[in-house]
Amino acid sequence: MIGRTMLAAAVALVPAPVWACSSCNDPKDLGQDAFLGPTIFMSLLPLGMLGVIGGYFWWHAHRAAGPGSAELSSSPSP
Amino acid sequence: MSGDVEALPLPRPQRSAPVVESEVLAMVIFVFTEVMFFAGLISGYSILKGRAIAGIWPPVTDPDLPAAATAVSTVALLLSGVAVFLAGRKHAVDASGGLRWLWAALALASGFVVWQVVEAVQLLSAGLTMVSSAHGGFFYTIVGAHAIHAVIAIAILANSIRLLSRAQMTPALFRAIRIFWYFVVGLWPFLYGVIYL
Repeated sequence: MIGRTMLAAAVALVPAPVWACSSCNDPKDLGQDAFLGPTIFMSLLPLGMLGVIGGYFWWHAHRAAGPGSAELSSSPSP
Repeated sequence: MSGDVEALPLPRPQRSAPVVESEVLAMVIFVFTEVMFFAGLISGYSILKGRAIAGIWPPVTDPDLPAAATAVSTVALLLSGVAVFLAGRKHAVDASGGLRWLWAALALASGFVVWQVVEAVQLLSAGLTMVSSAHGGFFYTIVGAHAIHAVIAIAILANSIRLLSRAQMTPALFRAIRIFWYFVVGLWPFLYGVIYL
C-alpha cells in the first residue's frame, strides 16, 4: 500500500508539458521549435561565461602563486 | 636616553596582490551584462526568424540587406581589433608605445561606423524602417545598439590616444579598454552572421 502511494506521488511529481502563457503559446503550433534554441542559448550562456571568467581568474591566481613568482617575491628588495 | 634610540619604522601590513585589477574586473562585469543584453536581442530575433511563415526570411516585402558590402566593413572592424591588440603589445614594453596602432584602429573603426550610417540611410530610403516590419524593428535595434557601442568605444579609444601620448595611460586601464574593444569587435561577426546571412 505504501509502495503504491509512493508510486502515485512520484507519478504526480513528473512534470507534464505546460505553457507559462497559454494565451500566447499554442501547443499545436509547429513553430514551437523556434523557442528551443534560444532557450538553451540563454540558459547556458551566463553559466558558460561565469565558467570562463572564473576559470581565467583561477588560472591567473594559480599562475601568480606559482614557484616562479614565489622566488621573485622572496628575493631581497634593493 | 630614549632620544639616543633611533625609531625603527613599523612594518607595513602586507597586502596580497589582487588576482585581477579593479579596472579589469569592473570591465569584465560590465561586458558580462552587455553580452546578456545582446543575447536577449539575438534570441528574440532568432525566434522571429524561426517562426517565419513558410520559412521565408527576411520577408519578401523588405529590401535585401547589403551583406557583401557589410562584410568589407566587418573585416575593417576585425582589423581594428588586431591593431588594438598590437597596441597593447607595444604598450607592454614601452609606456608611450602603440600610438600608431591606436590611430590605425581608430581609422578602421570610424570607417565601419560611417558605413553603418550609409547603410542605414540606404535601407531607410528603400523602405525598411523601425515600423515597416518586425524584421526592420529588430534590425535597427540590434545593429543600432552595436553602432552606439562602437561609437562609445571610438570615443574611449580617442581618449586613450590622448592619455598614451601624454604617457598617462596605466596598464590596468589600457587592459580594461582593450577588453571593451574586443567585446565590440568580437560581437559584430556574430551579429553579422545572425542578421545578414
